[in-house]
Amino acid sequence: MKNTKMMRKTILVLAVIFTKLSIGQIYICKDGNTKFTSEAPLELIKAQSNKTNGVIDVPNKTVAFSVAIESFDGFNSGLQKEHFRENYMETTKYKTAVFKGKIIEDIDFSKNGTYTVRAKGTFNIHGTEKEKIVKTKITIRDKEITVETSFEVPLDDHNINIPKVVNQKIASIIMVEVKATLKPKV
Amino acid sequence: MIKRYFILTTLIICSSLLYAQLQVRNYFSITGKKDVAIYSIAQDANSYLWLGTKDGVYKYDGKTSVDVFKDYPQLKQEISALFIDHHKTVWIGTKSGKVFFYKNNKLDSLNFAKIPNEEKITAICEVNSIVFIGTYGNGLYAINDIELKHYDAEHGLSDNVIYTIETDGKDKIWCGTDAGITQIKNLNARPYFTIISNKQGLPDNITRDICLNDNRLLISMQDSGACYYNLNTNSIERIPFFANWNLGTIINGVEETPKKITVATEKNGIIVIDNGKIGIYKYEETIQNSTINQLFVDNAGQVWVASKKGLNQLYARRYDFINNATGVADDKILALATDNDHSIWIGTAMGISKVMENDEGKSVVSKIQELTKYTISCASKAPNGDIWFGTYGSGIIIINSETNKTVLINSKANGLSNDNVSHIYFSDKNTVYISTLGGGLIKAHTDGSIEKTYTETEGLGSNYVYASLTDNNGKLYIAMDGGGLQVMENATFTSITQKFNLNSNTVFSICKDKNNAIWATTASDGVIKYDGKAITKLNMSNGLRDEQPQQLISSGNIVYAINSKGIDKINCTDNTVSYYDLFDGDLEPNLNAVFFNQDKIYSGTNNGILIFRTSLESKDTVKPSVFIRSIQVNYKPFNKDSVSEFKYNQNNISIEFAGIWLKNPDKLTYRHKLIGHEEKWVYTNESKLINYNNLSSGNYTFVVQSKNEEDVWSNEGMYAFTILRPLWQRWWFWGLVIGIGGLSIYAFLRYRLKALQKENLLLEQRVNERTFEIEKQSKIIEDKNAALEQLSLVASRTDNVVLIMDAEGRLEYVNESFVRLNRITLDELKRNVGETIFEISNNPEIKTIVAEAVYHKKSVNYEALNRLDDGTEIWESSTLTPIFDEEGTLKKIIIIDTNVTERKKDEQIIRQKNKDITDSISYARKIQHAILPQDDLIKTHLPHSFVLYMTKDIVSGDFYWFTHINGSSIIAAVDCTGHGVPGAFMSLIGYNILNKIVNEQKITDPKDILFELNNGILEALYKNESESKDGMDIAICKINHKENTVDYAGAMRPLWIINNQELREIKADKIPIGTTAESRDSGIQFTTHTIHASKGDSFYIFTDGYADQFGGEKNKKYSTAKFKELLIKHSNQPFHTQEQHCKQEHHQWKHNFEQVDDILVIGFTL
Repeated sequence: MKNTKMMRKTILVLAVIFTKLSIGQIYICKDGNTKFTSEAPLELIKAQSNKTNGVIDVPNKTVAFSVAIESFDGFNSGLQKEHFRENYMETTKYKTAVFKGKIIEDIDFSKNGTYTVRAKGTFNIHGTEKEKIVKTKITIRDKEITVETSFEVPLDDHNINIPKVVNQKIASIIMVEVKATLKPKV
Repeated sequence: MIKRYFILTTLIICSSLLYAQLQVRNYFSITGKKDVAIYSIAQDANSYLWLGTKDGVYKYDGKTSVDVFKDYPQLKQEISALFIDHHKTVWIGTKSGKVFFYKNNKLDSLNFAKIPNEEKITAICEVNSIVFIGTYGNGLYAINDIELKHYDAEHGLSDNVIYTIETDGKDKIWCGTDAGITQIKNLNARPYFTIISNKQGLPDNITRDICLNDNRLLISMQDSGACYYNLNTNSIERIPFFANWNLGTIINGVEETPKKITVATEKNGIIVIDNGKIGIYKYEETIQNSTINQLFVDNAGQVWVASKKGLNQLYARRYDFINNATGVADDKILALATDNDHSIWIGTAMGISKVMENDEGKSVVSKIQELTKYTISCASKAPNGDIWFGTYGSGIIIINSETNKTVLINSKANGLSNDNVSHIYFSDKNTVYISTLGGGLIKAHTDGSIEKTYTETEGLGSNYVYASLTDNNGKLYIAMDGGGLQVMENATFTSITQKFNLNSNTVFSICKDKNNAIWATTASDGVIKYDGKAITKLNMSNGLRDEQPQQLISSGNIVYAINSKGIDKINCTDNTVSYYDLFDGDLEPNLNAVFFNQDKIYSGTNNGILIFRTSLESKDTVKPSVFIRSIQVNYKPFNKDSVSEFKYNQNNISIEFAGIWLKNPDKLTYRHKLIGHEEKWVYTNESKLINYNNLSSGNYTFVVQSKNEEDVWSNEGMYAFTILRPLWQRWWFWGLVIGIGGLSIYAFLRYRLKALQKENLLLEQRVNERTFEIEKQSKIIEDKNAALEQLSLVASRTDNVVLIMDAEGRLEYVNESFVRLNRITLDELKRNVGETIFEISNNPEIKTIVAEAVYHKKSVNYEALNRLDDGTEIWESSTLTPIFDEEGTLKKIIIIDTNVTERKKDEQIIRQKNKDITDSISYARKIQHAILPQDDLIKTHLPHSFVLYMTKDIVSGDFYWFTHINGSSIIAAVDCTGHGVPGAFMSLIGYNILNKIVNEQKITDPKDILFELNNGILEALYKNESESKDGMDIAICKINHKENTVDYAGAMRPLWIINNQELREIKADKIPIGTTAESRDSGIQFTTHTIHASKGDSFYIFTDGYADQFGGEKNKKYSTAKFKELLIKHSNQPFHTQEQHCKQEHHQWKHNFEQVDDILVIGFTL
């Protein structure tokens, strides 16, 4: 119930942002790439999704990204994917991973260039919210904003429990990388 | 990652092996539960740590913690901020955005009113009595006594996310936010905001912590390490150490001194930068944690870490050991020395080792393998940097500290007097003194050549020498086994031991202090100090914990005596002793294996090398706390903050004190005393409740101090109180008492005086009264005397005879009349007749008379005939009077005799005349009785009848009359006027007249009879008189036996007829017979009543004598009514019985009274 509420809240935030930005400088994408890497002693797992939604409100310096968990693919095996979805991420209950926050530094979105900024916000996955400050590279080129960031996700922080029998195969900290190119909302 | 390790390596290279390593203590169950996250820490004035945890607030004293708000469910949540203001109010901020404050044991919550807050409280601080509250997203709140203000990004704040608030304590605060630092000043009036951010050169806008010191801010940042902001120049100052920072977020930074910074990273440990030396304490290795929440430095410089597992304490230790654990093969360090490179040379039973620091700052031990066969006894650095080792049995080994090349000096090759070398002392750059065990003291040169050997032969006290030392004047002092302490000057030995009569001939070690005094350890004299003139002995009574410290070494004004208990410090100036209580167990220092280098003592012990940092002493002067925890008065809790004046009977005072020394709570000791009650301190190892019982009145101050392991005493905790004196012990009371007493005495004296005066008056009055009474009595006596005189005169002159006798009846006095009458004097009487009344009295009843008079205590009169010698008879009437005193005792008997002979003669004549009269009247009685009808006659005609006739006197005025004529019986009851002789004469007259009327004139109608009787009486008595005084009352009945009728007529006397218990009265005419002449003249008529007798009718006629008889209990008349009742009552009985009842009733009624009248009652029936 709580998680459903959270999902609704997230969607609402995104909707508000989209709505609000529709009259200002809004950059959006629906095909951002999100990768994660688990580098455990016995196994390296990589998976990715190209269905990452993103939005940047330039005047307010706020950002939001979300990705459906079930959209991840590229596991070492089908069984691994099934475990990922059903046992670890419990996608029936927790369908998306969401980060929303604001950009700390001041940058001029009207000028082309590459900027390193930090986005501070909350990252919600597996129904558990955690505050994060993530370093992000923003490249502005011809009214497109490309966002590249990576951050660590400790499984403990989000109550993702890995059975002991496989803890040598799955890392306790997952590296997440996001790359998305956002375009002005028409 | 490569960069990180590079930095770490750089840091470590900068660090020093001998830097005070932080020690770690973990408290993961401080709340009673394991791994309870702690988010915030504060410290109060008593040094308690307040801990904000994930489920409440705990208070921690270093040993135990208490859940302060266990009864407040609203505080069972994550406490994200804690602050204690200068009013001791505890401010509590929660993750849910609530703020509570706790003051005077009362918890309250802050009302945010119009600007509600739901964001986490991140920081609370106070300046100018304004409390500032920082939130994580809702800006800043400011509260004073009046209002609550709110500041946010729209009103000057750099950002609404606040991590920290720092204050200068005057009028500025700095808020660390996500968008730099907001400086706010002019807090009380109109706040002025200044933002310090990237634009001012701040490396990182996300400011996690700010620490103000020395007018600059130490700023801890999210990703850029730390930097300064100079408040004088308003400019950022970068810290070189953080130039290439890549160890993540610094969540707290503390600058304790301008040269010392401690920062806590979020994940990578604590970094201490102290005067260029770096210490890194990784969380994984120290607090078993990867992240922390807050770093807190307490008032003693202890670093506390609030982590998700609990509480961690990081503290600098004064000492370290280099021992087996750090690579020293043999922990038993027998000899120690340091070379010019500050490497440590160690001598053990297994040879010599050298300890150096490697590039990582760790100690590296290298053993001189070729020397392992030597047992090293001592070591010393030569002026050229070589290390000289003394051995047991092998002489001396000289090692070049740089090349490790060795040279041996021994008896065989070099002429040492003995190869057992106990001490090597370089007195100057060329001279060395070698102490041997058995070979005396060798003076040699630093090249190894021997100059001279001093033995007992040369005057040395003993060939067994433990140590030698020269003072600043070049005098050589020698410590020996058996020779005591000697001083050699100009090749002459003087025994200090003998000079000052010391007990012990054994001296183990010596050193000199900065004043050139020599200190030595002896076997039985303790530690002695010789200042060139006198010896001072120090032992346990002076505070030494061990009287035979194995090592002595001085630095500055302190002589350190290193012994089995630890390190005792002797003040060279005043010889006072204190000590460090740092060690958990005993030390086992080895003889003279000690040196001082820079600020450290290096001591060889059986547990390795003790390195003790004396330089930390300045820091450790931070005092522990001590405070009064509670007070009890007469064993009941008492508010220690209230007025401490107690009544005299509230004199059992209990004081509980406690101290806090978070660094090392177990080492805290106390001393206390009650000034006013105790002179000396009382020492104790624990906080406790001290009871002072039965304190006398006075002023007291309880003083307590705590002392930490560094021998630093706390400030004094005090509790002053007064036990009031009882009322009777107060000056004013006695003043009052004296005053009241004086007044009372004065009043008493006044009263007494008054009373005496009054008494005097009374006495005077009484005297006057007595005088008056005496005068009165005298007068009375005089009067009595006069009376007595007169009485005596009377008694003597009277014609009456007076005799006075004593109680026994013995004659005491007779008067002249007695002598004259009896013609005998008293003496003659006593002599010739008798001495008592009983003998002289002619009255045979005299004894009885006397007895009666005495018995009844009253006079008795009697008469007696006294016959004189000449035969004359004299009647004497005597009054015998007994005289009793006040107690009733018979005192006298007085008899007064009166001659009554003449009266007796007169009485005799009268008695004779009375007899004659009585005889006459008795004869008249016979005559009167003779005229009364015969009873037989009446019984013949009236068989059922009775006549009760009782005369008052001899003759009677009443009479009854009867006759039977013409078949009728006539009977009358007549009461003549008067009684006695007059009545009797009247009855004779009446009798004659009645006979004449009835028997002669044959008049039988009762009314006619009465008519004639009246006339006859008047005719007889009052012929010529109009008034008559005498007459008679009469009831007369004529009983007609044939006709069975009774005709009645009465003059004043009625007829009663009783039948069946009912009485009917036929009233008489109210005409007395013979009383008035008018009745004769007017032809008065009497009435005849004819009664036809019924069966059972009883008739009664009677005179008034019966009813008029006085008697009964009240001496009343019997009355007609009673008489009627009497006759009715007995009317059914025979007439003779009725007569008896009438008699009996009359006698009972009359009893002892006299009969008042003649009585006549006649009853009959037909």
